Amino acid sequence: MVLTLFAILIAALAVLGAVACFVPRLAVTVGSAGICCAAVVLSVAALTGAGAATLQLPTGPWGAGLHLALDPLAASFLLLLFLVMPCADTAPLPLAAMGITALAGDGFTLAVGLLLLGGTTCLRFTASAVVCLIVAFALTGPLGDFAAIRAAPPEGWRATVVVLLVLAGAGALCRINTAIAVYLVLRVLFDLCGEGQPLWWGVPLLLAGGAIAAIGSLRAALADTLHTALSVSSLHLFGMAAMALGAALFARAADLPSAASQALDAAWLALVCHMLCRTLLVRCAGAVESGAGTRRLDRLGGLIHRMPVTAATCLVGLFAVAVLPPGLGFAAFWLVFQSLLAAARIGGLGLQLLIVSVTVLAALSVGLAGLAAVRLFGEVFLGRPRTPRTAVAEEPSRPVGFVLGGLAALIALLGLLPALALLPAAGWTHETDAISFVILRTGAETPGYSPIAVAGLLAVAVIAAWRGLRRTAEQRREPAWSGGFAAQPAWLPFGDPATQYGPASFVEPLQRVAAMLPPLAASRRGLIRCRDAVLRTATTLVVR
Amino acid sequence: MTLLVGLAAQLLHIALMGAAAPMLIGVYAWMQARLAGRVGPSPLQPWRDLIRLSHKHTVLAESASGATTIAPVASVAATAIAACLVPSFALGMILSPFADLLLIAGLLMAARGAPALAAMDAGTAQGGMAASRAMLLACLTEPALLLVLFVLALLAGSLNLDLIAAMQLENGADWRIGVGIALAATLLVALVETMRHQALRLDLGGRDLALIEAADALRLLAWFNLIGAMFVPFGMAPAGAGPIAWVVGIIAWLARTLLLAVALALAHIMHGRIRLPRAAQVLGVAVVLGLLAAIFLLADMGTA
Repeated sequence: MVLTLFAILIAALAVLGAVACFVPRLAVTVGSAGICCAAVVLSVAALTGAGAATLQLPTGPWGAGLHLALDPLAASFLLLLFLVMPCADTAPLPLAAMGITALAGDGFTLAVGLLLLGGTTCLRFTASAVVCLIVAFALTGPLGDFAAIRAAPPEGWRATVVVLLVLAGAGALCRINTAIAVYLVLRVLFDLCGEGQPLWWGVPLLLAGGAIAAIGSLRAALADTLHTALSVSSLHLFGMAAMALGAALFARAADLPSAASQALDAAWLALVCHMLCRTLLVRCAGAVESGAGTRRLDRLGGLIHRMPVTAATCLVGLFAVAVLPPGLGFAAFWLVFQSLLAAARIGGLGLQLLIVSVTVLAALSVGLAGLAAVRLFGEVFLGRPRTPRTAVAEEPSRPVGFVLGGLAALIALLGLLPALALLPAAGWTHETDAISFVILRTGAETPGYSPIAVAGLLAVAVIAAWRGLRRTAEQRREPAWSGGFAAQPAWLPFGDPATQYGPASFVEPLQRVAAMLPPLAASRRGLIRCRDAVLRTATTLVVR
Repeated sequence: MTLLVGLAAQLLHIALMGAAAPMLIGVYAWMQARLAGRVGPSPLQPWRDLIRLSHKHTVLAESASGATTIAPVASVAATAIAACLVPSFALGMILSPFADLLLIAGLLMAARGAPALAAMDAGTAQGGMAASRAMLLACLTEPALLLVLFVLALLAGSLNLDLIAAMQLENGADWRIGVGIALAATLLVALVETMRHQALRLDLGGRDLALIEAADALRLLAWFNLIGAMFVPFGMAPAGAGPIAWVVGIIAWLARTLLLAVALALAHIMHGRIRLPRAAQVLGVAVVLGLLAAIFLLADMGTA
């Protein structure tokens, strides 16, 4: 019943997408928002109602028909996608494609959904992902019917090839939609390929997660346009989700179900945080760009005076992304750290060292994310405007403001009550004992991390500091002094922008430190020295 | 009953931290001056400074926004919570179930980010430069610090600081080599983390400056307590113990804190100001030490 309704909604979205160019833009937006709201309600209904359902569509190749299937995994991802993606201003057709992908009951339907999703925007990556998946599903049986694969999972070299192909496909899909990539890994590696997997399946995920986390935060710290900076600033959370998936595969291979469900919880929370923060921050970047007329960081500045709402919502997003307590990102990182700790107790010394190095990468990404968040907020919203255009920036329109505010409120709420974000995934993570609303923990009786308590303590401390040192009534404004800085002359109303520390200068020390990294510098120097030695020996030999 | 004892210990701990933090800065400055052959200010000087600053009128930079007002409060609140979660003289305080090491590290990181934002708010070159340097150091401390936490959590089976301290108290006799290396890494991290960034507060005054100074003092004390609780919690009163054990614990805590203060003052006297590239190298060494500690510990666990 629910599945049929879902199919109707997706068809409606597809129709809306097809006629989008003939009807007014407002009608399309309102229509797709309404359909998405209905889809969210339906996914909640599917999550509360028990059991799985399948539906055979009347169309399909060779008279076989396309299958749609609804289970807790699909329902939780539908909830996430239909809640978040409309806020990112996604067109109806990609929304329909996401619905098809998440509801696909066989490999062919999945491929169709993916092609619809990315075929128009990012053909190269979509095509490679689809080719990988089609080959993988062809290895498992005709059309890759999920129920059939589940009954007889691939074994031996087939399983190896399928896993590698699916991981490669998911890697390509990261460029299109990260949630879909995670969904694919969860569906194939955790659901279809059955229990009793070898230990190494987690290794590529751990390595890729570490690399994505570190490189993503580094890119966010070094970016010079607002859009790049804000869109990659939550990438380390996606990397952490991949790490947690790897840790979950380790735990499954070692037959530790509670550790596995904990790691799955961690992956889900990191993914939710990534999706929400990314959407919020990209919308903030759009608001700043349209309000201040540029996306270059070195032309922005001082926007908090002109765009307070955007600044506040952006701060909420950056706080979550910077992995600071009591934000959502910290809750996710706490769970990921716990799952890495649990995974470090499995396997031999080699695997343990892998986990330790991945932990270092995760920690580095956390530090870099903090630096990137301070840099972005400080350069864009604080200080003085760097151009006259920035000095007259304007807040976005009211609907955009509502979207920003709603997303920020959701992120703050989930940061305080992470269990709320874990609830939709309870059906497939099989977490039973440790879900509690006030505290995140690893076992029923162990101490853990309680965001509510931290927030309460912080509130008490803030009030005490505020009251304890009551501000004297008198306040006055003076030109900043800092090292001989003077008031701006009348002919330079916004001051000389060059006297402010710019975004490029802010990361200059980081670049110097990165250049100092011993392996890179040493290998280059060593290569040059080797080349010189070879040349010198050759010359001496020839001369003699 | 245990609850009441825990509450009393917590309140005493909070009072002790509040009173001792500025004193520690004073003692530290006095010690540094004595080691350099100067007379040095009175150890009570930071207290007088705090009182003087809190009576002053507030002067704000022209481009300052609400961030200048809010950031010092946020910084001092985060540091204070971290300081009140780290046990000093007794285990089993009432907040001990929340004393998660990752949480404490996160709070200390947040307390570093807020002053950086306040420094950027004035829109001057020096503020931005100081913020950039402070954030770079904060970012580079994270890998080494979290590695040490990883090692300790592997050993104790939990990230809870109270459980870790209790484990160290129990295993006091057979110290593993991995723990020793982790201690060395933590000392290096603390050396960099307790550096004070004077340029961050050039455009702050009055109450805001007082709050930032208080946060700095609390941070130093929190770091000393953290090192003590993670590695050398000797003399700490076990959970549920009475006032006599507390007295012993307070004496042990005083000795530990003074010892660490002397060590830090000596390190700073011998090396002068730590320049940024040098600090980055120190943190690199700390990461390598953390890796070594992890390897030793994992090999140990594998053979055991």
